[in-house]
Amino acid sequence: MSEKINLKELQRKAWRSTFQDGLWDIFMGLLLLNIAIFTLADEYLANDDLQIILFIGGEVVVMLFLWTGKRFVTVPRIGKAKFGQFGKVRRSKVKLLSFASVLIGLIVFLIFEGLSEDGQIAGLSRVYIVAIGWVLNAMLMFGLAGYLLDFNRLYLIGAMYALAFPLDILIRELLQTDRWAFYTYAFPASIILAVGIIVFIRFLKKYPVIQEGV
Amino acid sequence: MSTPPVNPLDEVDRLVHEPARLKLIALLYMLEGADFTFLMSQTGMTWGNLSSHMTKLEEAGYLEVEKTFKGRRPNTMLKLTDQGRQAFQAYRKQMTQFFDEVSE
Repeated sequence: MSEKINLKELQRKAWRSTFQDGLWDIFMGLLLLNIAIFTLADEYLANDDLQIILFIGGEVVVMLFLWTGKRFVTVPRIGKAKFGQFGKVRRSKVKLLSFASVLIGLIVFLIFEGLSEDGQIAGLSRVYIVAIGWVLNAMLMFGLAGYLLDFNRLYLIGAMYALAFPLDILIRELLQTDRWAFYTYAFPASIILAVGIIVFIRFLKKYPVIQEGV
Repeated sequence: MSTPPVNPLDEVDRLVHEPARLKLIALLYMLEGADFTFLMSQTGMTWGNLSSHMTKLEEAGYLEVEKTFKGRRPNTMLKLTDQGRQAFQAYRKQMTQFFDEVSE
């Protein structure tokens, strides 16, 4: 019995396995894709209320996807565990982080609304201020969440989220059109989705449905 | 007449010492609880194998089994009892002592 059992590593491996089904990746990719679809709705639908309804409807569908995927596909294959204090601490920190992220987003939005179209802060127009706020918020939020949850793919997801809005601004300025807005969000969304789908397929192959008694 | 030194391995808890059960107990030691499916996916054991080890540990009082239903599906949650945790801690101490005493 010379094999060392590293208990902490055992716990971490068990914790990490709960994020290896690919569903969280697909969920976040779909959220970003929903924003991409919203830009299309903004272009083709005159009614603002309908755009909002469509966007919120999309968010609800994406959340339902995550819930049903976990409930009927992945959890029956990998099972459930209670991580006690180890999990509680991490989840509480991520909740706090999410709250801070929403607060930062709100502050940036208020700054944006508070400035006129030509308004500037420190030589930066309001669009650039929002872009900087978006990038910092995305990188910090996903980076810290990835570290706290030991979920490394969040770093990539954060980078893709951070890319979307500045890419939109850049394309608009270079091409002097907002017709490419859908693609500037759909492109990073599709990268996240592709990774998520690959992880999901590998998960399904690795963890077949358990037959009780077998 | 002096008594021969006690070899720590002689006193080791063989219920914990068995490799598959050791893996199971070590995992449950770090968790508050887990269901059957999770333990199968983490340890790589088959249903029958895991069930057999679970029964032995439960009979020894090391494991607590909670059977509930989620809809129509049975859900079995397992957790180590205090006795089980103490047994694992004692085992770790014994094995550490053994390897400390073994010379190269």
